[in-house]
Amino acid sequence: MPPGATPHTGRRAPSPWRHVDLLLVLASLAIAGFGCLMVFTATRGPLQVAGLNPDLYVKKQLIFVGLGTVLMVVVAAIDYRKYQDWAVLFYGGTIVLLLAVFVVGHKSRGSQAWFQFGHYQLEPSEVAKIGLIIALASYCASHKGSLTARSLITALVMAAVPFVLIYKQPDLGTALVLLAILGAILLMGGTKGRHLAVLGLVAVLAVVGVVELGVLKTYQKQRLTSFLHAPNRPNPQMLQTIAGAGEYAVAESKLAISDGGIKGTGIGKGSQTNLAYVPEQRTDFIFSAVGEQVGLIGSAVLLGLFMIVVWRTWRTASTARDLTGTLLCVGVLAMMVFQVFENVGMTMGIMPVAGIPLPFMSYGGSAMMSSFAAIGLVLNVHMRRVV
Amino acid sequence: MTAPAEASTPRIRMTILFVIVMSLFATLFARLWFLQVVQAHKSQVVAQANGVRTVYTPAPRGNIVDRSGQLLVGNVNEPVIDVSRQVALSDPAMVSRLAVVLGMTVKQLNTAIGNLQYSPYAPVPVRYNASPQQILYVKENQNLFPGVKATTAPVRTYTPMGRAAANIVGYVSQVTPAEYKVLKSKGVLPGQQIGQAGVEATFNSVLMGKPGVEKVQVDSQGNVLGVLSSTPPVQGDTVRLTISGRIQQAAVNALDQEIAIKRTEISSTTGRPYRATGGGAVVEDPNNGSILALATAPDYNPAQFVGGISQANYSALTNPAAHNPLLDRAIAGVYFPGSTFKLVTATAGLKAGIIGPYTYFNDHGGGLTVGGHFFANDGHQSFGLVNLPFALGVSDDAFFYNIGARLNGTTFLQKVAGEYGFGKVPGIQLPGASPAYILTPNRLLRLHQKYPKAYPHYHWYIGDNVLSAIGQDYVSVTPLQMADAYSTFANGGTRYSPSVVASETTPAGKVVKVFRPKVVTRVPLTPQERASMLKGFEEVTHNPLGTAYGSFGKYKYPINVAGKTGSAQVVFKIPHNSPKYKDLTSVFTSFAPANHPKYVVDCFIAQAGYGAGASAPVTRQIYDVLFHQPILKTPVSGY
Repeated sequence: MPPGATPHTGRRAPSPWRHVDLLLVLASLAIAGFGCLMVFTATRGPLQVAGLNPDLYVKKQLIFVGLGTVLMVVVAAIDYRKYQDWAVLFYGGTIVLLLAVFVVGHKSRGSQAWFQFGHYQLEPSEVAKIGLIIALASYCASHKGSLTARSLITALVMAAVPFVLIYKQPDLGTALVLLAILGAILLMGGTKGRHLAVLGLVAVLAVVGVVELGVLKTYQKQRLTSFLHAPNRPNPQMLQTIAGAGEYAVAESKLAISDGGIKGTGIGKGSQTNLAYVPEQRTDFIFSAVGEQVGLIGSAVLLGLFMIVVWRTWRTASTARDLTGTLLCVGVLAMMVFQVFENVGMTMGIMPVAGIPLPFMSYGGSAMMSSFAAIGLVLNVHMRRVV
Repeated sequence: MTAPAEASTPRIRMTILFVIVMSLFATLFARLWFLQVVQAHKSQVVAQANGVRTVYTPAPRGNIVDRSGQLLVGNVNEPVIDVSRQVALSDPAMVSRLAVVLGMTVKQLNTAIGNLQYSPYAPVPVRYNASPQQILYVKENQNLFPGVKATTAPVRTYTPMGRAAANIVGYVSQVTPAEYKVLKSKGVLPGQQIGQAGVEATFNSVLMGKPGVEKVQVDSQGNVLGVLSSTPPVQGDTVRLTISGRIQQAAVNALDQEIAIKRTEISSTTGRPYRATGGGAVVEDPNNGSILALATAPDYNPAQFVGGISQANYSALTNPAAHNPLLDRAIAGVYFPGSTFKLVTATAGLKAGIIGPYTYFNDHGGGLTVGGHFFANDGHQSFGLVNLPFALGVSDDAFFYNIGARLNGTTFLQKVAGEYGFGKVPGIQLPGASPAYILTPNRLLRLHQKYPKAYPHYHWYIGDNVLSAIGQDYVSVTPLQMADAYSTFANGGTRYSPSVVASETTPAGKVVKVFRPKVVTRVPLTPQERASMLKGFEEVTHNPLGTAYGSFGKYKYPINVAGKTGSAQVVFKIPHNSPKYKDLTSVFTSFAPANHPKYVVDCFIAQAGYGAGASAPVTRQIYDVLFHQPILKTPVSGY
């Protein structure tokens, strides 16, 4: 249904908030709250040793959660059909940000991926995930669920531009998230079966090509495959090479998760977590803090919460009143599932090391914002499914 | 408008999506199960160890004391400046400031801080023997020097007696990486001080003690967060030597003085002062083999090795002009014994029946012609009819040439030498004791086959046995072996293993181990044979014709010292005026009192002329001390 066709009567329409998906909200907030606790346990020790305030990171993370919640409400409040109208703006803005980061972005550890504002950073690649979901959903929906070859190519190009820009930062992980979003939206957005088959074939060939033709830099390839070589006993000397650093991180992370056993060591009692043996633990490897301290039981609860989020998103996609809503939800679902699977899989040594945050859990403002914005989109679609 | 999606969105694709998502989650759960249930037990052990480090503190080494318990080697607490590696890494400005205070370059200091021999979890000592000013400055300006600590560490210290016994006590130095590989299994820690010579080396495991063990909790950055358990170090056990510090000092002084005197004396042979390059002297208790003194000259100051020897000092010690002070000539100096070897020849001659205790031999020619070759007495002096006591007393070579010649074709002479301990490694608890060598025709041939350049001649001539009989040519000895041999004779024929260690005790004084006399073999003589030889050795000092009369009988020395001189030729067919000519090795060996010997004393000095001229006076001085200053008897010693 075209957005302009929303019926407006003289009577004040009943508030869509009556239909808000409370379960989705609560599950998201529960994950974020648990995430704050995990960030605290993973950062307290090193901060104390450095003579800093042990609450430093958790305080900032709590602020991010607060801001994210506000953003979620704002995103949900504005009818998503308006976003369809502004899709070009979102997309254009995303591309401008991605280009700008090459010029004025902050350089750190070999990549140029964010803007620095005082003590805070903005990562445009996180913005790009939401921007691409809105743009692709709107574009595909405008073709009424039937993509011609030409419009399919347009959609591919739409995704390719931010993909390349993010890949060049370089941030391979987030670039792959965009691919997951693209794939899911194309699947549900009316791509013809034979086109899907061709795309699948191209994807397979692309993977082979990337591996065989040396598109990836050696260190990227080493890092991606390092999880296959991670030993059971980490050795700090591995940190001397890039591939070794990846193996080391995975080894320490696996060890931490395994150390947790069924019940976990207890909060603040995980030797791996509390002595800071897992590198990047507050960000990409936050799941290892969960695995060690609350064990199989706590990890299962966390994954269960993620499953609730994914299930509610899938459900909203299925029940959305229009294709735009469905595709928005499908895009969010792809983003969430890909990030959870890749991130948690990485910490357990079954997925490559790629710098993807665990939604709501990993320390960091931009990712927190994009996760809440994504949930805002789903709430938006859900509460307007009948209005 | 409740359609789940527009008609063109097939439900089936939503289902596919759902299935994909669920299988991904299922994968995560399966992996979680594997890690946290299947592998948990193994991982928990590794994770536990991951955060715990063990820091070892070397224990103070045990003391080394002399037979009466007087300290030879102990420890002293030396001021040390320690730096925390973590702080140094994060505060380079502090490192620069500290470098100025310590008078080091920043690079030197960083190298010291980065010394991998020290545990990364404990402060690194960067300056031993820090001056009081440096300590005070660091202590008063702690705000400028975070992570820097003034502390103390035990290091070796030597009493004057210990200094005189450097060759016996040895020295310590930091274990090298190569040594560490070998000693790791024996509990040696990286960077630890280990014995490199002498008793410090042979009794290293006793002296080393038990290191302190501290288990600390560390985070991934190596920050020490707390101490889990701590065991203090236990000082090593005390090693009590059989050495008498007083006698040792006396022997060293006598030897050093004599060498100094000889270097000012003109040699009548060369017309130049004697070179007197070095020597060794031994004092042994013949009744049990315990060693009271082992003097060597030149020697070194073991204190030079404390905290690492300087390059300059090491160069000085290894300079050829210094005549190798690190060599313990008492146990590793290999000399021709000269006439002192006649103990062996006399014993062999008696046992083989070539001579009787008092049978006469006619030395009418001032030497002996054997196999067409004339072997001269010293100075071609002829003594006419000589029997064994007289031959020993005046050191008549012809008498002994005759025994050597008659024994040629057998290895009996060499066999008797072996019974007295020659050519064998003495079982002393010191590293580097030399076996020297006693050659036989077979051994000569083997040496020639192995080292054709060093031993070009492999044919054994009768002359070789003739010269061996007077302690030249193919026999060589160390001062320690000579003392053992004369001890064997002096005590009536029992050869004990020489020993420098009496016992091991805990720092508190509890006896852990006592070293008892060990009999190696017996060299029996009939009473007549023994009496005849003893008479000969007494003639040496008592008969005005005796070779050492000048040091003893002439002065009516109150102690009945019996002995034998030796003056060994070390170069052959080199003119006396050539710079390559070397003077004789001066040897004297003795025991006293002659009838019930308490001590065997011998002395060797290279390039110092006749035995009577240099070594006999040294032993006389040692006897002066031995008999005028009685030695304390200790209840602990097994001797």
